[in-house]
Amino acid sequence: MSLEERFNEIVREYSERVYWHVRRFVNCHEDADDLVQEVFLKIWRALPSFREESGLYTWVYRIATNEALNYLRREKLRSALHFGSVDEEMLRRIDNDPYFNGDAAERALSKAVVRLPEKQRQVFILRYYDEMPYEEMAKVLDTSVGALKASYHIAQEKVRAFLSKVD
Amino acid sequence: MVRKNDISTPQGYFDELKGRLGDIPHRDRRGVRIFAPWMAIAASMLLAVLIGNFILRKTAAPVEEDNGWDYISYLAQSLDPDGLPDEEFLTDVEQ
Repeated sequence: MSLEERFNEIVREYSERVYWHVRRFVNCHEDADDLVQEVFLKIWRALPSFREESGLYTWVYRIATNEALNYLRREKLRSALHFGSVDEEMLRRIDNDPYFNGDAAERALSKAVVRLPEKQRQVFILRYYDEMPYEEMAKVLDTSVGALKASYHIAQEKVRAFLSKVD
Repeated sequence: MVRKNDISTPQGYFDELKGRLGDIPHRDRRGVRIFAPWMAIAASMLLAVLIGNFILRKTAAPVEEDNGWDYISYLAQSLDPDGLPDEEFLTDVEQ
């Protein structure tokens, strides 16, 4: 199989999953679309050196997660230069997202996730939205299952606390 | 399955996305050629400097080169008593 054929296979299998994954980080369809292209460009360029032993699933999600976090860090810097807050911007996006079809509770949940610290947000998105097993998550985030479970537990507590304030 | 019931995408988005992503290998190869114009600009500037330098050298007034031979000739003559006027051999003592 040629490199291009391999890449197209990855596109077919993972493009939609990658989209939903990064969408949860950026809360905007257009930015998620941009991010997906950046993710797959990175995948294409790194594909010649990819070692099958590390697992394609893990590898793709790791690239997608890192790209999403890099995007948020760039937005944070941009917001800081304009004396704004990236969290406030994300909350605004959730309120104004034309592709948001959820109810008030789901909107509140999305906003609660925005407020989580970076590591807990990663874990929450992967566990709650992507339903990724902890063992796979440990490979994606390069950390232990125990640490991830603890992180998710704390994230859940914070989300609950935020939602109870909203109620 | 991914929980995505609360958010959606434009109609037909994923089919269109797959098409665009499938084009990445071709676009990335073309991307290498994006750098070529910049290299061409840099090469053009270098060529302009070289040509300009060449033209300046050709059009500037020639400078007499002092290859030191005149001085060497003078020294040679000074060693040959017949080559210089008598006054050159007058020393303070003789004067």
